[in-house]
Amino acid sequence: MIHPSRRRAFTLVELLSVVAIIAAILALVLPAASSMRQRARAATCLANIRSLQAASLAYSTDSSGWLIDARLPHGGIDQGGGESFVEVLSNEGYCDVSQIRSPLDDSPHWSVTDGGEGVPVPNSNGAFRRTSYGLNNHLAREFSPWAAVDSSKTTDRLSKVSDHANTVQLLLMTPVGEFAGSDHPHVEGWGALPGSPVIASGEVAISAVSQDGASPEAVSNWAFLDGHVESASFGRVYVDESRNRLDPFVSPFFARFASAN
Amino acid sequence: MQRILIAACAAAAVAVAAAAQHAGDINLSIEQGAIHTAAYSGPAAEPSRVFGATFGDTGVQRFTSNPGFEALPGTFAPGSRTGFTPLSGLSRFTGIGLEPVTVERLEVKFLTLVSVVGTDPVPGFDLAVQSNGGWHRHLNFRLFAQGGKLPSSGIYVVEMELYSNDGVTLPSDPLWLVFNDGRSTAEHNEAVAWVEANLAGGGAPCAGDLDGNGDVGASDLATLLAAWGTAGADLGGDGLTDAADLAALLASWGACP
Repeated sequence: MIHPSRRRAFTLVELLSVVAIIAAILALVLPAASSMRQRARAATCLANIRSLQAASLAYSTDSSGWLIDARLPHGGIDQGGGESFVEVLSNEGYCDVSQIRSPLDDSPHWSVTDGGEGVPVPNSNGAFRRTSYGLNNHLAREFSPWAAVDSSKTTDRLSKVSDHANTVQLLLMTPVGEFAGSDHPHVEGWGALPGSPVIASGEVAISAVSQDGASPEAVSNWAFLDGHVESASFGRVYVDESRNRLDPFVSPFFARFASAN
Repeated sequence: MQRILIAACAAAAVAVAAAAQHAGDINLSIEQGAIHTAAYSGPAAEPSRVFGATFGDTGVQRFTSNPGFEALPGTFAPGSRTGFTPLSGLSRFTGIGLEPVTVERLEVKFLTLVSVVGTDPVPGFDLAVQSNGGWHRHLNFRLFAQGGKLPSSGIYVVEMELYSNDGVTLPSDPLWLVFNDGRSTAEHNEAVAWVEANLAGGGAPCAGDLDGNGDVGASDLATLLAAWGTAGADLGGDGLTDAADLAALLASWGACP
């Protein structure tokens, strides 16, 4: 007869071995799961920005070809009723309000009522983030840099842009800093390497997908004026002032450069 | 005596805080027919003519696109252009005043438009007003040195005015951009405070109010005349109380805005 108290149990070494094996498996699985979650978020963001691009095109089609305009400077002064361009699209029924925020957006500057941390955007008179997405300011009537130099170069209508497939219209705004409260960057200030990815990352979330900082290899989601979207590295979108896919006067030429490299 | 000292220290602390550099953009409006500048760093627009900026704030050394300029829609006439004119050469803060630069230059650039400020004032340039009458622009400021040298770190100052070509709006009063390149925030604030106290008439647009009673009147005129030929009531920043200062005082006669 075997006495119950003498039933064989796991030794400490066996238990520790099992714990170690479980820890090893978790160490392998957790990063993979985290990476899968990140990829899923990036894919959802891509679908979001595609929908917004379709909404922008529908808006332009209904508005005799006029492009939707940016409305939220980052300096704290409200230029248009406190709405971002995405909210205008949403209010006019072109997109869903849930598409205003990207699943990749972890900005602390959303208001508490919008489910955020309620930290105001710096130097903004207490304003909060209104959208994850921004408009390429080259295609924004009020903030187009070429229009500031020469009004005949305003690219505010579909017909004024020559290469829709190679000109970015929508992008992701940086989650922190003054531009977190805006709905457009200032592409005219990005300059050339080595500074351009650093300056751009202060305005646009250029590594929203790859989460690897400010470099030409950083990947973000970009939507083009013809309706297609790309998860593309910064270097495939912008090199310098004369080689990029944001300035509509140089974007057709850069497309050839990018495909040749 | 101790109380007086504490009060004096508190007053000095308040003065330093008030003179601290302004982050954010420069707010433009039209007041009494002229371009008016204010800081936008607090709950209300604070009138100011001295604005701090820091090279490297966007991650690139000796470069900044701040401060930007912000004018609400409807401020300027659509179709007109608004721009800047440097009123001085580039100078550097010495701790007790300003000295002209030697090899350092300030490049002000917007796409194809470029103005390089060196030892002397140079023409600026203008940019179109938005179709809604707003003017939200960021100029790109870059510090460099001639002859392939590196600029010395320091606090650099340039004086400018803003103008409109609409044929109606008068230019702004002089304003000063105070750029920090590699120096401490305390030193930067000190330079901003020095410019406000010595060049910008205390930072208020009411420079003629010499006795600080909120009104430009006979007592201010008497003070100016008593200081004639000295630096005592110098409003223009040229180190001398002269006819230009008298004209400035008479132009601002009456209650301060």
